[in-house]
Amino acid sequence: MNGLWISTLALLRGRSDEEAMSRVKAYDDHEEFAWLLKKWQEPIRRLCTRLTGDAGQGEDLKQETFLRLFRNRRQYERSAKFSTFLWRIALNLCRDEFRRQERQRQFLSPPLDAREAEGSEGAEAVWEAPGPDSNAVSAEEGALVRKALLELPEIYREVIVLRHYQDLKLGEIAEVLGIPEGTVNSRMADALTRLGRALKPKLRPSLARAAQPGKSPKSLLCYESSKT
Amino acid sequence: MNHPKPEEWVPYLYGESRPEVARELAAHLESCLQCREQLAGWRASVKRLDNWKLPRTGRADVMGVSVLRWAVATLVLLLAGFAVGRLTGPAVDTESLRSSIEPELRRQLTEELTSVVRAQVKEAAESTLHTAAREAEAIAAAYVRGLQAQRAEDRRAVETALARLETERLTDLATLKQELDTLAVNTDAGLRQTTAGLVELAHYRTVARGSEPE
Ligand SMILES: [Zn+2]
Repeated sequence: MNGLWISTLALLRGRSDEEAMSRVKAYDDHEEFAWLLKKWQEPIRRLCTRLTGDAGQGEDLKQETFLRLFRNRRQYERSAKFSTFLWRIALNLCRDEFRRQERQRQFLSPPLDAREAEGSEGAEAVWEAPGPDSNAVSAEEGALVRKALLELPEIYREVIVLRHYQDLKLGEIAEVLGIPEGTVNSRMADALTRLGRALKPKLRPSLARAAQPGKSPKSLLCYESSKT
Repeated sequence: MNHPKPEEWVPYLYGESRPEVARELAAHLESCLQCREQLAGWRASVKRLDNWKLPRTGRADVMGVSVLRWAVATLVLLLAGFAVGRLTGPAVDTESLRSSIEPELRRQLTEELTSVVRAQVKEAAESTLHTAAREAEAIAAAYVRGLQAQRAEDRRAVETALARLETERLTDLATLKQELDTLAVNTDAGLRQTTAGLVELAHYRTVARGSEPE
């Protein structure tokens, strides 16, 4: 609904994102910048949240993205698509953030289990709060998907997030990432294969042996990410 | 059998392949169990992605957190600048203050902020500035902690900063406000946000003071 409102507004204003950004570039136009911010902050927040798996970080990176957009306004070329320019800024920031975290992990490297337990609290903010008609199972499932995505190498996570959650066409993803469309496609195929493997529930042999009929099957399942 | 490559299936999976290609691939699927299974596996993965939901919107206040951060950053730097200004000359050099503050406002780097405060403080005479330096550093430290932790921490950092300000002897708020107005007029969107944040802070401060027994 918000999106509709904004596109209606854009029609009334008769100005595209590209025109708005050009005005920001040429005149430091605050109003145009505020308009772009209003329109794009939510998609950018969601992208950053998906890529980092953390709502707080998604918010921070969103803010950083717009700061950088303004700082880099002179680099914007009128002929380029505004959204591509913006997605790229956000993606680069997410990559930097992810690399920083990786380095930190390598230095500190707490045992994996401890990290997961720790992460679960932060992750909670990312899930939609279970409403009256949704249930805990879907939240659990959401957490599994989030975890599986975070464990994918960056290049796979990016194509999945851009296609599936940001609804970019494969061609647009190629443009944003600056790679051939064929590469996007093969990355996507790999990504989906890896994701499928990571999400495949596996029966832990020891538990399977101890399995008794009538017991909750949930406790017997352990979702293991495949080591590839 | 000659199976299409995985990357050929991807546009088909997302309904983005050209019609003639789509027809060929569909025909292949009819006769190839192996590819059918592969595609079904991918579809299942795609479907499961839907289960990770995000709340519809982010925080209610658009740039709330950064406003707070910038506001605190500005306060910290202003305090340091104020102390320096007071000792080195009758008037605070707004332009140089602004130029030293502005780059920092554009970043979120916590350590850098602390070091800037330190550097500014170092410039001035050691003995007289010692107290002010410690105060500024304490606020910077609170700010740093706020950045590292989440929102609640942010607020606490602001509260710490405010509490310190209350007891600070640099209470010349009118001048401070004037400085901030000048800052705001002189700079761009980022600093506009800061002004908003400072107005918010000033309000917060008034409220906090009002609720305190005199
Ligand atoms: Zn086949």
